[in-house]
Amino acid sequence: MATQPEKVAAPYREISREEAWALLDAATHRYLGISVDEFARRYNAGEYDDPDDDPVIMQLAFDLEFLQRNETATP
Amino acid sequence: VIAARTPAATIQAARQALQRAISCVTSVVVSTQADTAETKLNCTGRLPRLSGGEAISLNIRHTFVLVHDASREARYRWLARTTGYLYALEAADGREILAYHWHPGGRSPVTTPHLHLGAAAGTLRRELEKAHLATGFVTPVALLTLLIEQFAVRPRRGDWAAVLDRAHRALDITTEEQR
Repeated sequence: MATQPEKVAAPYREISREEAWALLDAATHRYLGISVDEFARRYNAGEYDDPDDDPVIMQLAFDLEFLQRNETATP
Repeated sequence: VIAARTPAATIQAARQALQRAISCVTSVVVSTQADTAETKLNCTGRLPRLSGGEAISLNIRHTFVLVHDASREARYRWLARTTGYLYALEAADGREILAYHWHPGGRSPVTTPHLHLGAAAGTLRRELEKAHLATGFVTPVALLTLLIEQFAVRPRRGDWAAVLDRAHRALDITTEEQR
């Protein structure tokens, strides 16, 4: 079952804010059939009662909240 | 606790800790969004199983901020403090099996760490379908260990237990290791 120890390379991918927004837009289109702007409008208007009631909404909300709370932050 | 001399080194250390832990079950690459004061680590990957059963998917989101602590030794003055996480396991059809959550800053009224049993967990009592089962703070290691020990996901490295133990100690914010 176990495999031999192996060296692990450390590849990684940096995602810019713009890329993250585009990825979230693709996800809201895919799962909800709406744009990320529309999702953000509905979310911020409180149209999703408890986002944590739906796993898809929660994942989208987690990503949206991250983008929104860091919107004006400085690195 | 993840700590380093500079903010960049701390972000790198956090990313590497998660990447090493993930490497126990998959070769997927952790993506980092670190262009702001807060950093988000993300990874999603399908996992084949030893039993030949249907593949399952891992879906990890982990956020943290950098904190400067002048009282610490210079090489450990920047710390990564976890600000939230979603660690989910999904069935091949995309339905959630289970998910560890902590999202203290969001709109959900549930701000403490908890576990969801999802639609793909099997038949549940109605009371459990939307329940937030209280947990302590967990790291992705809880889910990764579960994958290997209970979901027959093949470990990709022989030293997986030691790697996961180290990752847990690094990512655990409930113990403030003095250095």
